[in-house]
Amino acid sequence: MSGEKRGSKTRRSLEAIIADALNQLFKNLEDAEIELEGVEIEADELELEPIMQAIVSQIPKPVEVAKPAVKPLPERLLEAEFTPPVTEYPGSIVEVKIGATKSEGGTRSKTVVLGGETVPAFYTFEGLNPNPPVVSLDVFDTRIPLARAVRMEVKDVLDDPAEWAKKAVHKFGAEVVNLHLVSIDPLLKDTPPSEAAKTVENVLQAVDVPICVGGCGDPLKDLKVFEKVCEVAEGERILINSVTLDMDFKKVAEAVKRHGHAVIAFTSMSMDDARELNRKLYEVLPKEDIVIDTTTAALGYGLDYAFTIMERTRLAALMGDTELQHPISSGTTNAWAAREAWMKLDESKWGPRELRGPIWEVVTALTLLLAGVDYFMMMHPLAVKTVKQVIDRFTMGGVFDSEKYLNWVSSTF
Amino acid sequence: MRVSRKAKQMSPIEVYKLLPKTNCGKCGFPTCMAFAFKLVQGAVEVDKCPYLSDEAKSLLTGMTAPPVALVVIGRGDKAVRVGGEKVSFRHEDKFYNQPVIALELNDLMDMEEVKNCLKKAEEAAFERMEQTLKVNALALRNLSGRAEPFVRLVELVKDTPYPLIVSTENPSTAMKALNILKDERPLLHGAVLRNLMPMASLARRFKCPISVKAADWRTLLAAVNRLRGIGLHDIVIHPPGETLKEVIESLTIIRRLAVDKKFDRLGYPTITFPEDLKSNVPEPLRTAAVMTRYSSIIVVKPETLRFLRPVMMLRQSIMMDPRAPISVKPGLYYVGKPTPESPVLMTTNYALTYYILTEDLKNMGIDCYLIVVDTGGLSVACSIAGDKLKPESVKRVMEETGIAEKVKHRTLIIPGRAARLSGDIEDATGWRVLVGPLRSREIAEFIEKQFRRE
Repeated sequence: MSGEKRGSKTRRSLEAIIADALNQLFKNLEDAEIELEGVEIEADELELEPIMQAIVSQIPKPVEVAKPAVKPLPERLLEAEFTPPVTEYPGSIVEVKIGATKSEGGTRSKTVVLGGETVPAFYTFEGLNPNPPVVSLDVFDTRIPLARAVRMEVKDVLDDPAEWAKKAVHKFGAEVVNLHLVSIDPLLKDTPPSEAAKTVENVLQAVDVPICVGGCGDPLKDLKVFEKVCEVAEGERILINSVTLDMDFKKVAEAVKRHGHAVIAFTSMSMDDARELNRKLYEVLPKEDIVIDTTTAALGYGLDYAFTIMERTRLAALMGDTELQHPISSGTTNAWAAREAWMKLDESKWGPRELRGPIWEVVTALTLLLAGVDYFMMMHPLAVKTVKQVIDRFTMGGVFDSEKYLNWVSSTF
Repeated sequence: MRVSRKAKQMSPIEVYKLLPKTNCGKCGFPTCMAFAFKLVQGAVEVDKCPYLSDEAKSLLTGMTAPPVALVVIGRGDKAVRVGGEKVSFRHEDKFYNQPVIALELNDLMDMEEVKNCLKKAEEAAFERMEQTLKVNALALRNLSGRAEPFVRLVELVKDTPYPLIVSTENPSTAMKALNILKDERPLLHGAVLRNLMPMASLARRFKCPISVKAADWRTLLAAVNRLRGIGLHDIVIHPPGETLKEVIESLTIIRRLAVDKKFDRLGYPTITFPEDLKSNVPEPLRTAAVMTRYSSIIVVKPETLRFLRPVMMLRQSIMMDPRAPISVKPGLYYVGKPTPESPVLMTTNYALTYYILTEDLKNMGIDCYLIVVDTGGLSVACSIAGDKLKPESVKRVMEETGIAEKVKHRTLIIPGRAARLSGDIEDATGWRVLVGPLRSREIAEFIEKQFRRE
């Protein structure tokens, strides 16, 4: 806000001139109710010529400069009147730390902290939240159908999760690696827990950022694998993705606790489900070990539901709902479920196909960023880069740097 | 009529005291008391009572007015409504008027370029879930700094189907433009502190809404005061901020103050130019951010038209009433030109489900009958989980629509996700049930392999 007294001399004289001119103008307005209040004009905001032109062109008679100004303006009045709408929030979000350095018993050289919010996302006029949202990249332990735009970026590492993880970190800027152990699915390769755990170890050796380990969605198999993974990764404080209401969440929670990790509590888009699962997990785990995920739907395919549930969850938590005071994770990769993200469509109307997926991912992420998401699981390097830059800019308030500016419109990818 | 913006929320009894107390029923309610209750809830328009005194009308209109004022831009068929919002979060009620996407044209463009842009704007429009998603207005900018090219631009686009935003900081140029548009109610954009009164007098003369811009809050409030002081209430705020972050913050402050603090001097719709901001966010995507955070009018450049469809889909999402899933009418739908041999498919009445399914069926060239069952607007997966897809409802729709007389066979294809109801549906309807694929894109192959074979 620009309230300092700059060039006050110039300003006073300008003000007098303008006040006079305005005074004349008011006279010309029929039954005008004149309520003049303190108007401050920044001298450096004004260019004399256009003002005078503008005013003169509207005024029939020459302005009488000597006329006394309209009633003196109470300069401080407005200053007192504008108060940003600051709400007091009784609640705050717990901080969940992922990864552990050598001194903490792990081998990571970097760790991240999720959550810790005391105000809604980017309500910077109410306060600053301590930890910027984190962007992670998906890595799969087996070949799965990937959109062409994504596959092209990772085709050289598709068969090696460790190499894929390295690329995600060093080339694409992943702050955390999401390793998805899809191959453990009994309907796919049914990889045994020991072999899956080996993959986890390989990835832990390949990168020095924290990792998050996901299952296949089969409640029984996931439990067995998570137990093994928790054991081999002891000390590393990995994030287990995820526990759900339909699995033996207590056993998963116990494994997570025993080996000092953290977990994502994944539910449908329902605050009640999220509360219920959290309540059950609290019997085993401290709050600081739990991240929640209330499901992400793609832009055009239910994003409005996902957005609103996350926004409501965060607001409720800040307003004091103790069962929802957790960082929120989003499977932003779900954006690719929208057919428009990858299908062949008329490019003059839908934009180039290679960019559509990243756009879908970014729009989905940006929307959820504003709802309060702390942890983004993403896929396309360009989308990751863009979202990371948005987060940097939004949280650091740094100076605009045109060098770093990604111009999607004029660039050719 | 002057609306008393000072009016506070009143109790039904207080409202009742202002009513004629004749119980004439002209408002559509049996008693004045009933009308008073509805007024307090904001469920009925003040104008429904024809016998109100001017004072009562002013007070009541003030009370029922949404905290973000409703402003109409354009006239007649071209009119668009902006603002009129009651809440900051859609789950608290819903959003009422969709953000207007305005295409920016400037007076340095030649005629061909303008026409080309208009054509592209038209091409960007598309149908989705029975709504037309499109560009809603044109924002004309006076980049030349001269009047003649601007006037030419106004002349060129004045008969297009779009309401106009006339953007110039020069009052005499603005006057020339408004003279052409007469009573078309364009939004006059370009008022800043230094030209405020000349611009305001133009807005008064041409009875058009005016937007005001300032670099800081105090100047902005002073300017809004001025406009209101001379009786202008159709105001649009151009929020302070040079970066995307700052503008998002400003938009949030404006909405929160208007809604939570009933701070009526900022209770106006907003206009943003996301692509003019300093930001590292790619231009097309900035629109998404200001849209999520309340911007009522968003001006976009022609270069981004080809990226606009996802943004318009986001707008459609945000504007959906969160209390009522968007649904289609249950019943029998024809896809293509079905014959008595054509398959009969069943699905739920969630609009998105219906829309995607019928699109896919059409694209695959399938002729069939589609039975849409009332699940309260829930998708197949949700209605199964929530026990909202009832075999009896399937039976009822099939009987009511007389599908049995339209086809020779008795086979019903149900969605893959409804597999566990196959037995129950078979029992209820007496038809043989085939469990279809999980994905609608696989239906063609399914029909070929499973349905035709029999």
